Amino acid sequence: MAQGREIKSVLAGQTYTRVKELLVGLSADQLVVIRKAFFEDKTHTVIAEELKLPLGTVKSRIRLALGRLREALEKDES
Amino acid sequence: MSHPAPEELLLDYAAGALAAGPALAVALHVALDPAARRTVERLGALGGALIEGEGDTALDEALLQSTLARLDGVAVEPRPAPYMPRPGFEWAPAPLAPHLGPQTRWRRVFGGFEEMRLSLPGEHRVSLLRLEPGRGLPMHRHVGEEFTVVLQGGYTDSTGDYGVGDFAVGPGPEQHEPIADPGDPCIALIVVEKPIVLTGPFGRFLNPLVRRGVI
Repeated sequence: MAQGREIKSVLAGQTYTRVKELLVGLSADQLVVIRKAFFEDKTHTVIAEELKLPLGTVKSRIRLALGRLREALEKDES
Repeated sequence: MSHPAPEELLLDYAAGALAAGPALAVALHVALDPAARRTVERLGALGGALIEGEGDTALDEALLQSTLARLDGVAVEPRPAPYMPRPGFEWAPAPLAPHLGPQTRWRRVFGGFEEMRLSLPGEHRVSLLRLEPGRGLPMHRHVGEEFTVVLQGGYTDSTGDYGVGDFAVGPGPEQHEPIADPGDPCIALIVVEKPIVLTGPFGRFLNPLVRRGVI
């Protein structure tokens, strides 16, 4: 399957493979919110209601996850 | 870019969770702001990586080969023609083009203030507003969510100066009065969840019109 993986990374670009590695570094709390967004097509407002969390908590989890992602990817690019 | 869209809204957009009106507002912001575009691309990669990590279904080698073989048979589509804005609509980024039909045109609301209503599915009211320099919108407060993206010129209100590509989220119950900056007329896309309530001296007369969707 090594060849298959290679094809995928060529198709989707370097970011994709790198992001996959970075996913490991995200906290469970951050992942729950991001998974809900992508798998259930829910807005952060709906997610906050469902998880019974204050909107601010959901926003900060999203921002923290993105901050981590950006930091790591920018370090790669420079 | 001094006023980016909040990141949680970019996630909603990247995940495809936004209603048509807010999605158009974010699409225009992303078209005009390279930093927002990078964030959305990263979020897309994040979504892809999540889906990839799901279930770990091994792809059958034969299926992969037959799919790749089928792809070889697909004719390469010609590259889509580069986006050319209609004359008079040079300020309109590409994501706006499908919504500008031949009959969408500016309608005068009052002196120096014109509106172009767009029809999108969903519960939001989506309009383009055009304000002559120095003209302001009537004092209003927000009932539901409101998103604004500047497409030409700029405006200033109590929360700051907004230029092309800037994104504003309705500030909630507080009042604000945007005034168009000097220079080119300010053109902005405004997406409102519920009718706004005008609070200035003319508000009492204009509110029934707002409720009926006249202005």
